[in-house]
Amino acid sequence: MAAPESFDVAILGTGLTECILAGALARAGKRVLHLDTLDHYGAQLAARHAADFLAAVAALPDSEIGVSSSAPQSASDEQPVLGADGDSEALAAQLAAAPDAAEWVARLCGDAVPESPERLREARFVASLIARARHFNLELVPAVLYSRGPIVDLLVSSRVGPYLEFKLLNDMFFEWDQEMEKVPSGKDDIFVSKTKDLLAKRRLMKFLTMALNYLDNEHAWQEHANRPFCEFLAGQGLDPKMSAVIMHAIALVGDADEAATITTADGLERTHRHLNSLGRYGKRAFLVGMYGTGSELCQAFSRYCAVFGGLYILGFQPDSIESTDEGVCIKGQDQTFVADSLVVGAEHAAKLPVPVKLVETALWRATIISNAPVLGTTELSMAALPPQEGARENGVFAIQLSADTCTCPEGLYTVSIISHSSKSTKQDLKDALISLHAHQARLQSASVWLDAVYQIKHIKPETEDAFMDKRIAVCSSPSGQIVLEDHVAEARRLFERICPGAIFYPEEAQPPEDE
Amino acid sequence: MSAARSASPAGAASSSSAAAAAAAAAAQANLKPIQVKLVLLGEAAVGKSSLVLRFVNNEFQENKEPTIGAAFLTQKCKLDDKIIKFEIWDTAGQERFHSLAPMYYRNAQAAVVAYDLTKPASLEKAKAWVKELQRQANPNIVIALVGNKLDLASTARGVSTEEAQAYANESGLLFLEASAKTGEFVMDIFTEIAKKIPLDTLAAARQRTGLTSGGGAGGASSSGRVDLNQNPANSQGADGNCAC
Repeated sequence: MAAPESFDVAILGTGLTECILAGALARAGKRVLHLDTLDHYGAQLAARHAADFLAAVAALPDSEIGVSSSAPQSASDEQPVLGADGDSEALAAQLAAAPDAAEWVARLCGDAVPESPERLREARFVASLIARARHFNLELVPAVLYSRGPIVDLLVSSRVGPYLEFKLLNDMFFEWDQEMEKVPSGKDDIFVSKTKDLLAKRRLMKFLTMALNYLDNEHAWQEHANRPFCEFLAGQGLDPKMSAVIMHAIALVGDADEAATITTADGLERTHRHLNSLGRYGKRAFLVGMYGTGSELCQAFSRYCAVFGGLYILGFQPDSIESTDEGVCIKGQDQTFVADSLVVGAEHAAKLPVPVKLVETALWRATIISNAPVLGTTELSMAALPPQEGARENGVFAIQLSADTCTCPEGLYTVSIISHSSKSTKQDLKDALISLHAHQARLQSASVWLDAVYQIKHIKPETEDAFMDKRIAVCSSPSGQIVLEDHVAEARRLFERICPGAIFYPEEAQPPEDE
Repeated sequence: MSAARSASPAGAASSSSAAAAAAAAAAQANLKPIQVKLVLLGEAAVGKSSLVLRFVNNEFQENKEPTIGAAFLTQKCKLDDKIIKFEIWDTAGQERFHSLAPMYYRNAQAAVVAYDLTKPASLEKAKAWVKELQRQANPNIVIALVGNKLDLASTARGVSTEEAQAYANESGLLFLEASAKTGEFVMDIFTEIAKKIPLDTLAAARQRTGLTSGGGAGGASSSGRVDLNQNPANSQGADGNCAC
């Protein structure tokens, strides 16, 4: 066994809090050892190729993957399924040459080579996804970033940003009465729309103006601060639909219980966060990362840490972790590492020599891969599907991505459906799939569609204080929210405990633009 | 590539004043540099970083210190009427245990795989990295195999030029021996790479995929890529669009 190497801080897990923390520590001059038991960065946030993604979903308990298609009205209506043309004989030949494609076609479409046009189209679709598996970057836990939020601000000030590429989500939709409507993003949208009377438009403008600068307009809401936001909205003379748009599509409250109880102060803060992000990089508020948002953020902060001297070992299986007087001693794979402090992602807490109390939340999600857009013809977009009587008790969010973000090959679209509520059921997600299918049918008469419904566990330490003893701390796995912003604050709290007095990501000089 | 093509790294120590004048003229003509991402690979201590520091520091201004913790180092090369801006990525602490992220290889148009010509084992390691590149990186990546420490060749050579050249030929790699210490043939590595990269298609491809750095005037370039540092409506904040 090699002589032990010593570090100031060891981190186990490459989730987002861990990676942001690693970069901050290395930047502050700490010697950082960053480990993961997996052979990729990002833990749950990792982006995967199509076959890996399907295998990961299939491995989750109670998950379901299905394929369906709707027939074209005429031959010219047929959407091309790239790389999978031809009749059943051609498909059989294709499958004979590609065992993994054959396996997935058998699993999702049945063993026999299908004869009916629908089944054949579906089988071809599955075969083409697997044939082009490496052209996908699919996330089990996708997310978006506020244009003006803690993560983007940190990317700009720290100069970690240049590692990453972002696109703006160009449309934001809201489901109401089984229609997808655009959420107004500014004065023009509000006044152009025909559906609202002028008084209602003025009231909405007045509310949005107030919310944008809500801290300067305390007089307008202070007495309601701790009362429910929904009541406050009703008191602004906004109709139920506009109130719902604000609650679900602007403040991003998806959970029915939360919508009923969120305070006016919190509701306004979240409304403000969205409004304040409008216009920074374009008309809409949210950014998505090319190749995957969370996954790329984890890689970028890890690289930043490495550039400042951090040492990385993926696929490291610790045999033992002990807390000693000299430090935390991590042994595994014929190596011994000693660190003054150890921070582990919650999913690794069981490996610690100290007891850790965790809170586990399981959230249902779904992912659609289709050869036609679902939310709207704008490739990158987002939708809020609020709670709906008789349909779903809790709201869900949907993010549509495409080849534009390298999420999938040209000609395909992916839609991720996210529930913020642990009370949402698998059926709620399936109902959301049904309504999205209906929306797609209105946009496009023929399509092939693969959907995966699955549940992801999100774990965090029970106590606010992440330190389990003087050397060992535990941080949360991704919260499962559609935004990832909370990870910055969590990383900062850990950083301040480990490096009291040091600066968390000092502002870096922006290099002069030389062209 | 025509045989008459002359390549000279802009600002290299060896560059003549004529080349410098040409570079200046090109700059005046407001030539937009073509960005090329170049990744470095090779066993620890073969001198990867030294090769790059030699290349990057031989600029007009001797005072240009490499910034510790820079996202990547940059250096410009002039090739005919084009300026190539190399964006050079070092593996940092992610290579020792083979823990490079997909981000490292992504969109790399060139790679320098270095070995120490006094240590045969380092060539074997280099071959493993070439395999990894062929598996992970873009299929058209230009790979240069570089035997470093040429200054030690007369006393301590462990890998013959013929052996490495034969391997490079069969694998379709550029091959050079160089010395980061003396600077000998270091510039040639980068100019040979620049010559082999299909610059025209690259410029077009970058336009399409939006891989330009600080390209657009607004926050979102024509391809829709958002440049985080560009804030078209920053001063007005959200008022600009929310029109409240």
